Amino acid sequence: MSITQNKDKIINMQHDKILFHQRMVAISIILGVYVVLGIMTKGKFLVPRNLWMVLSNSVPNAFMVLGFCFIFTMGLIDLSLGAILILGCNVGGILAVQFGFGYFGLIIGSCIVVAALELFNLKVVLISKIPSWIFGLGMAMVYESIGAMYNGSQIDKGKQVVSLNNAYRSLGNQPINIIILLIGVIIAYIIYNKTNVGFKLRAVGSNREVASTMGINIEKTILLAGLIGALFIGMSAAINESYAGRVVPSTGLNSIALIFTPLAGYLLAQALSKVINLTIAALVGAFVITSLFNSLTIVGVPSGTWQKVVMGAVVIVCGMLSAQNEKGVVK
Amino acid sequence: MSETCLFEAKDIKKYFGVTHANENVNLKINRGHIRGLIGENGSGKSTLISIIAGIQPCDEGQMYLHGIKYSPINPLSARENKIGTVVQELGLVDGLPVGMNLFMGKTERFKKHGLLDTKNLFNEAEKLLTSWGFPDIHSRTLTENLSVEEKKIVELVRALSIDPELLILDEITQALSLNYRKKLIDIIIQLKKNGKSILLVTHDIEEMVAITDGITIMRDGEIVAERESEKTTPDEIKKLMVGRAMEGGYYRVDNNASYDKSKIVLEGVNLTSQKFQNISFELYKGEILGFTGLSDSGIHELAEAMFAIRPTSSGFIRLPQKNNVVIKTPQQAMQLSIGYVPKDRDKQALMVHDSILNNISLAGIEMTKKKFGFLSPSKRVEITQKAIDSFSIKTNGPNQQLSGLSGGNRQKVNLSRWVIQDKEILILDCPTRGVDIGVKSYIYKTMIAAKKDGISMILITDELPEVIGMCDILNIVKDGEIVKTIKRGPDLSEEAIIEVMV
Amino acid sequence: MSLQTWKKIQKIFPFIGLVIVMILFSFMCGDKLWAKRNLINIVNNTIPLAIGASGMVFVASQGSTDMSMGSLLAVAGTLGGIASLQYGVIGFVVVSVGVGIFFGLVMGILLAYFKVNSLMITLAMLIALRAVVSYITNGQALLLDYNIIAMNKLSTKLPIIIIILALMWYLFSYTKIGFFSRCIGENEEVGRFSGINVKKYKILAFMLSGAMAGVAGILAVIKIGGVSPTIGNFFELQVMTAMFVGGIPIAGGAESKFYKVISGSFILVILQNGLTIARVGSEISELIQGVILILVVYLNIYIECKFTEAQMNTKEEIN
Repeated sequence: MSITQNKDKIINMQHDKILFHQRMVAISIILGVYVVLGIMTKGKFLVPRNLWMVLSNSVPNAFMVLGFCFIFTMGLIDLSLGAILILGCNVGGILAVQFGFGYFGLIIGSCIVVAALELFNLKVVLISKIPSWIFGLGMAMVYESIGAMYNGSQIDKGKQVVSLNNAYRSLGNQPINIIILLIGVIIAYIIYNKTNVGFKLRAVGSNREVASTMGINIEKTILLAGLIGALFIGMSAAINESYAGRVVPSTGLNSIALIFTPLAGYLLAQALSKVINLTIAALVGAFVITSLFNSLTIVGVPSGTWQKVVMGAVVIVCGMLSAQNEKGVVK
Repeated sequence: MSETCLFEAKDIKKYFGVTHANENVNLKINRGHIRGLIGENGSGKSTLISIIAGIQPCDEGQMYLHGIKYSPINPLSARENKIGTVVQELGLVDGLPVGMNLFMGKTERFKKHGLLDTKNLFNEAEKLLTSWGFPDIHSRTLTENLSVEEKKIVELVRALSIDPELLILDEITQALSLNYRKKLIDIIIQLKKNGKSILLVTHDIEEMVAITDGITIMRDGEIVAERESEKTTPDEIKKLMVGRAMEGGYYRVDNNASYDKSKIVLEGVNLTSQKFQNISFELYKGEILGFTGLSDSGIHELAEAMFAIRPTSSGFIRLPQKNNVVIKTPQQAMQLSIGYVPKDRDKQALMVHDSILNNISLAGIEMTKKKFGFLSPSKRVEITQKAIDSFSIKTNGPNQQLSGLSGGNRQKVNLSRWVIQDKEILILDCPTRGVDIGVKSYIYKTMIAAKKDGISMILITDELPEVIGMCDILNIVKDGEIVKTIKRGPDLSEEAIIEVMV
Repeated sequence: MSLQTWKKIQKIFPFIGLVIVMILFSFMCGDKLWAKRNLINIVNNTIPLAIGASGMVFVASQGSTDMSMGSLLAVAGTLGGIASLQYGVIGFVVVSVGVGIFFGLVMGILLAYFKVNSLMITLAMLIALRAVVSYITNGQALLLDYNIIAMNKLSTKLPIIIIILALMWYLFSYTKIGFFSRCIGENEEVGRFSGINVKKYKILAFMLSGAMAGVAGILAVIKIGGVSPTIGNFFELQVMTAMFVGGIPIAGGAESKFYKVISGSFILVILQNGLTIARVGSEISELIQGVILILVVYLNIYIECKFTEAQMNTKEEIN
């Protein structure tokens, strides 16, 4: 082989080598985290039954993170998704129990509500050019109050918001939820990596101007990808409702706290996406975050207070990780 | 229209405000012809290329492809007409793998059952890269992990993938290493053999004369000459690139370097960073010290480093007249009486949507400060009015937004905000870029007057007549190093500069 | 429309809002609205908003966001309240404002040096600090000394508040911190190239915002006479809405002016006051607040767009 061909081969090997290296580093860091969690909980965390439960608990979060992969990746931070989730849970419950459509109603109801509200959000942001986070904040308040009005109307009648009681609970519990999760990850992987809309949304998120000069219709891509993301979040709502049985709407922007856990998972997935595909990293991110909070609970950290502090800290740390290569101006 | 003519541009005109970026440009390219396009920065060649590539429309004139009218509305339609372009700015999406960037906009053919057959796509991309001679760039690699030259190659292959009749390459060779450069030349020769045409822009004149069939030379927005490559020499091309009549009374009239040899006001010692290495120089009181070079020679980054905006990995700037103090931050530089006029007026120098008052007050903040941190509004108006009056800025008043001013007047604001502070040292990066002749001559007059007052200036520019007209001493920078220093006098000529600059 | 017209609209936009709101509510519940007790109510309610906004405006004018103010206010006020039990009024004030400045410093450093988006930092603080308050108060309310509660008289509060607002007005309009913040909002690059130490001023802005959160915390605590886990809920949103209603641009910059902070606070309070008198339920109230925020932001953006268009069109005339 000539000298230049040899040099090419070496550069090629270097590329692969670097990737392999980075993957090893990422895996060891994650394993390291689990070692720490294990030590912290004196091994209780690592008990197989606990790990299995953590996996099961991470399903709703994982679906949220997968949904984020299709929306936040385009640069659209929608803070109202928590409130939308809660509405989705309740509508799903209503269709399942009060209209008698069962599982079908649960899933379809959740998905349609989330999809409709999210598409509305995206469309308005596209037309009005309001920054997506402000619009999300305002709509979070609107959607929260809709939920609160529903809650209020039920209380007036002496009832509570819809409850699944003992019916339709298998969706949210093992083993079905884990099976659905795996199916969801596979579908997300296929859409993200193997369809037109997948790479278009990545182009829009990475460099909008180049994408549009290369012929990508920005508006259509945002709406279609947003719809897909919304469907994943709809699934999260259905699973959540099935698991919890009843989801009571809250106010005071508590819905933003609801988003924070999957947000941390998403940021972590973003940081990992350099070496693992984002959709797989989403699963990893959700699992790691759920593991963290599970460990905190085992150790006795109160969930209403200090766990939330940890959550805030984790989001900031994950934010720092994903802002590592930020070259431009950050506001 | 003969059968051999592939492309023709007739009487192309393009204006940016008062600047004639392209004026009466006529260009003909035949089939199987390799045409070189050369000119200084600002000669209009990039504008012409962007018009042909569909990136921006011309204001007047027509273009023809195979004799049929050709008016591309965007880059995509240029591609559809089999014109492949590689532009100067990178046009790739970093977050996607190479294969997807290659086929962006053309992914329809990989659709199978509604899904993208990515295996097929990446295989085709791999084949494409290999067939053009770049087997070491892989289609699955994430674009952001490639080096700058590898990214350029991807753009090249993307342009080649449409099997172009006309391939336009805008200054791509300087981004490539020797190895890739050779491959590029092989590709160009292959295309020519197949009856395709190439329009090539490069600063390497020797290379251009060697590869091309014909060379078109542009200057000041017009085509000044065309030569057959076989019959010309690099020297002749260089002469044709410059050779303009110097208008009188524009620049300095004296022909000797004149400055206070006893006082060095600023010293650069071994400045090194990514874009330049071991730059050392001295600025004397009352001197106009010039730095010139190609746009990527590192001179603009050097200017940033002089004002402590760009960190250097080694070396420093010190002021011998002020106890050899080393400059570490821009605030410190300003307090030590240094002013900096950046190259990018609208993005780095001025807040375009803000008033003249605020822009001038920002630079002159120390002048408006009173007790307890109070920024006196009356003082701010006073210094703004002083700037407006002394520089004859055409405006409604200090509160007018800069966006309502012409480019020339904005540049006056850019310059005056430092001059009215009686700064002792001025760093000027392309101070006359994008302004009309009237403002240009005003700026030169101001510089001459400042010089008389003992103000020292560092002039960084890629306009050769300016450098020859104004400098006492000129440093020519190439690839981040000072290759030659010329003193004002008979040795200071365009030919002498071009010889080492390019 | 011509440039002059749009400029005028931009200037009086908040005042039109004020007039409309006043007329609307005069119709709906006039006699109650203008009663002396209600007017005192309005002033009392404007004060915390104006204080909060007078700090947040520094962050907003730079183009950043501070979503943490409500929780920061709660932590500051709670810790201050606890300190007041031992150290009286002085302890109260020092701890409250000090806590605010401390967290402001932390957030500023995360933004300036670690380049994390301000929205994310402040949202994280919003949640984390609220949880800290929950923990400290154990979910219960805590009553304070009588002399602290006595501070809540309008005649005591008002002069101090006016002095604070005047100071903040001075800092924002006539000193470097205000001017540089607006420049950073206009074009951060230009600021850097013109000698502004951008990192330092980003941190300072958050510290000022934190300090005002501390003062707002004091106000909230003395108002209810104690410490409760829910004080300050939604406060940051109200402050943001007040600023946007007043006409502060979303991305900050030169048009951020101090009087807009005061006028915006007044308008929002009158609006909320009217809603309360008109017996609008609390759920609808949250909905209306959300809608107001969106509408006001939309109007802001719309007017800015038209203003820029008009600017472009007049360029020819000057030349």
